[in-house]
Amino acid sequence: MSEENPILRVRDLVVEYAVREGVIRANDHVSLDVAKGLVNALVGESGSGKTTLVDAVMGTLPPNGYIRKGEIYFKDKNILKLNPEERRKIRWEKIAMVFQAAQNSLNPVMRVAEHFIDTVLAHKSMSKDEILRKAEELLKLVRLDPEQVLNAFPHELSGGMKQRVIIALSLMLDPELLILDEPTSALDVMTQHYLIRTLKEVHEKKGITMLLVTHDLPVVAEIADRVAIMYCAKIVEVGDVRKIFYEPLHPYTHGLIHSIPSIIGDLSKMRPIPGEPPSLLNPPPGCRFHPRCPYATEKCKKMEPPLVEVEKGRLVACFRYA
Amino acid sequence: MTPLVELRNVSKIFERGFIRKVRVHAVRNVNLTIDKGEILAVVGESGCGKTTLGKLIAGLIKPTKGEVLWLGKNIWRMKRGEFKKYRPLVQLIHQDPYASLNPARTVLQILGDPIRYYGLAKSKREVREKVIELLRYVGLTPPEYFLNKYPHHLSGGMKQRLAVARALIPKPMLIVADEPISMIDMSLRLSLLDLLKRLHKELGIAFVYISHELASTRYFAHDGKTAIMYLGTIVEYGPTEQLIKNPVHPYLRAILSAMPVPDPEIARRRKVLELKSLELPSPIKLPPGCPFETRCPFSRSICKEKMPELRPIEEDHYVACHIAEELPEWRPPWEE
Amino acid sequence: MRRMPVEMIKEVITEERKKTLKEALVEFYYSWIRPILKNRRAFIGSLILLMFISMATVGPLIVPLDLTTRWEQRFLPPSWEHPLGTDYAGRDIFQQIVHGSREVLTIAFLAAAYAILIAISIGIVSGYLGGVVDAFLMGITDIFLTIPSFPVMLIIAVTVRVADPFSFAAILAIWMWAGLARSIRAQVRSLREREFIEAAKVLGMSTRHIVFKEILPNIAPYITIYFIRMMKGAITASVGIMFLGVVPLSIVHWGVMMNLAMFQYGAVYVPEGIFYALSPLMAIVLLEYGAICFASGVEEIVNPRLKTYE
Repeated sequence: MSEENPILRVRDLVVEYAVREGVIRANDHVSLDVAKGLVNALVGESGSGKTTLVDAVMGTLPPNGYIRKGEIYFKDKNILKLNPEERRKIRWEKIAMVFQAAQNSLNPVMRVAEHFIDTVLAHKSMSKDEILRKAEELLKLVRLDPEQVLNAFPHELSGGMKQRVIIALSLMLDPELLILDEPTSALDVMTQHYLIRTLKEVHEKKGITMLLVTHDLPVVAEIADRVAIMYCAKIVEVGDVRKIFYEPLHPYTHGLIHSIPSIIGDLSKMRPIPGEPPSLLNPPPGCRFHPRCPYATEKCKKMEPPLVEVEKGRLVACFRYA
Repeated sequence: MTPLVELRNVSKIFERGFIRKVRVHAVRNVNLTIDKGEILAVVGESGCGKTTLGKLIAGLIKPTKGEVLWLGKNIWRMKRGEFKKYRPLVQLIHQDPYASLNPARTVLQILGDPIRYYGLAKSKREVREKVIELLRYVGLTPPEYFLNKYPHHLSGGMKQRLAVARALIPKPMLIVADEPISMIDMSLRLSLLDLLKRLHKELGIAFVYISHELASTRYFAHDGKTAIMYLGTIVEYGPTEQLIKNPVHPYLRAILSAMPVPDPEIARRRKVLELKSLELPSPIKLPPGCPFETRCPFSRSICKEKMPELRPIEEDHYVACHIAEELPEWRPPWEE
Repeated sequence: MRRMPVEMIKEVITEERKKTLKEALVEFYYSWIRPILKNRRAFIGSLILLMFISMATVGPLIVPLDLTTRWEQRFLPPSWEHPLGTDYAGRDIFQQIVHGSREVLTIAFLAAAYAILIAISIGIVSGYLGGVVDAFLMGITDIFLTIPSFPVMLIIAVTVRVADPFSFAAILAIWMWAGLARSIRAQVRSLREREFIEAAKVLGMSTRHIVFKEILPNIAPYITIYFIRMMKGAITASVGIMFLGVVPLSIVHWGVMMNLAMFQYGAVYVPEGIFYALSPLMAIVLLEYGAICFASGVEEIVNPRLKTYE
């Protein structure tokens, strides 16, 4: 995402996991820019390495995972080179994160108000009144009734309400970047719709940069400005949301968009991508998509296509365009 | 023609708790028929009772009230021998292929034992050949590669195909598929639905497809019927395409308009039908009137007092709404 | 079905068998041997257990047992000739420990095997059938869980004249199965609700198939671990009873050795007797330590949730 002023830049990142069967490379020379002030989406299937990328940024890799190579810049600072105190300041104060199924992460024996107080006091010194005033403001922003919610225990709230409490909570420290990992999974259609609307409003009113990590393309179409597609530990395509959906370049992106069932559009144009995603333990040589690609040539089987800029703000890793 | 399965005024109430009994109305007064070789989709939010309805159709749980008929016979009045013959004719495909396959058994064992049980093969070699044939049929190729694998060696999509292969062994007439694609990767969903469609076409198996969203329902049950469930009752029923083109019930209209679509322009342009409230009433304390009244933007006083019956509004199209005729005309939110 | 010439079929079959045997060995290596070698606790435990098992099996063949009394050699300190010194009658302690290990392990193995059999039967019947049967069997199980086992074992051992290791093991086993039966029942109950059981039922598979082929393989690793734990418990109990001198089955059983050292010849009161008193004790401690290490190591291997990352 070669925007003028990216807030987060990942450069040539290689992340590996040591497992019983050997080494899994979950991010293989990944470079990604997160454009400031926009809603960015990182799209990939399970095992594509999208969660690993976020974990590397947030420093939440599991103990068997490690960063082999690469840099992660937040504005101009390489997070990986900072001392732990500075790193913590950036990671949890400047960048906020809403984890997958976060609605279950609220402590069942604490009232919602206490969650707000604890979160802030872990990082800053603020008076309780100030914290609660700010919490009320943010809860209103996510369309919840502060009086009702602050005094409630988590089990008294519905799934959608908890999800919105978590988002309000993540905004307490005025982060500049909000990362959301699969925020819509396991939600019903209506709840999902209102959550997306809330995120849109938060984005508009606060101007906060968002990075949405998801596999759900319809949700991406609804909210994202910029999209990066990940396949088997690599970024394969980057572009504006309309370009990605209307003129996909990479055969994987194309296949993905046409394999999404939808309530609109021609049923006969929906068709699955053949084959299975490869295992990260033993990825195919050359372009990783070649076993499933209708355009694969001999070159694709031997050489890895680099991610190149084909027009301004549009990157693709496919020999058909390079 | 006798339908394959018929539900007559079926209700299922679960009782929870020991001292203070709580009655949960999972399914309320449902009437349904499924013909031979038909596809019926059941769509609703989590907790609407769609899984319970699936289990009632599959004869896995006994209804509290009403009858479940298989080819005209009440399955809960069948004699032991009859029931034993009926049982394998309805098979299940579960939502979570991780849970529906025994982690301690290999592919060969998972498929081989029922094959032997149904007498499709006897000797070790015949069983093996039959397993290979089945694996090839459901698209697990090369089949030899899979024989000695355990479920945890397979991807989610492969596991679900294995579950499908297992369900085919007793030559079922009906398969109840409960959210079969919700736990597998998005690029594999359509191909699994294509596999199920092939079983429907080639083997004439009837399907009950249970889902929480309409997009995959439209793809799979395109030529079939769809029932929309809300809090244990069917609120709208008819041919799938008609329900999507001309939805009547405000609930169906709301979820249709809120379905995300993979098209950025339309997604940003469309107008979603606003609901009065986001929260579902509890299935323990149900409102006396229309179950959707608490959220319905069109509700009137009659909706609070009387529960609407499912009634025909066009040919083959049923709606449970007092004011179906007076609702504003439906304009698809994705059209300009 | 296409017909194949007989030779071809033979070829296919033999080729396959070779392959599966080799695969099985490779799989055994990767799923058991390698994890054990890599897990420190399991490795140490397996070394100790292997040492005692070889001591009990081939040990008596290599080390002869000489119980001739030589009063002039009583309470000798360890030397090349007597690695652990001699006892009150001048007999070699090491020989007695080696021969005693067979007694100790046999009784422990038998007791654990009996207990496992009882626990599996009661646990599965109770968990699978549920209802009244479950309530009845669990009532009995609770009684066995609450009665203080050791004193009762003592009383039985005294009143019933125990003459052979089989009946002695049975007396031990009666007090060992209850805990396992309860946890097998709990596991069966949760497995019974799993979807793969529902799938098997919908396929019309028999109860026998469901119990033995669907449920049992899932609790087998757990039972293996429990078996080792039970052997450890049986060793403690048998040594305890022997130590109190109520079941003098064999003079070289470690419990009997400790009893003799303690009460008969006052070895603990003379400084020179320290090796006679300590040797069986140390053997028991080491054996039980090995069993604990091995069991918990294996548990980490089969239950990845206990393991922090590799």
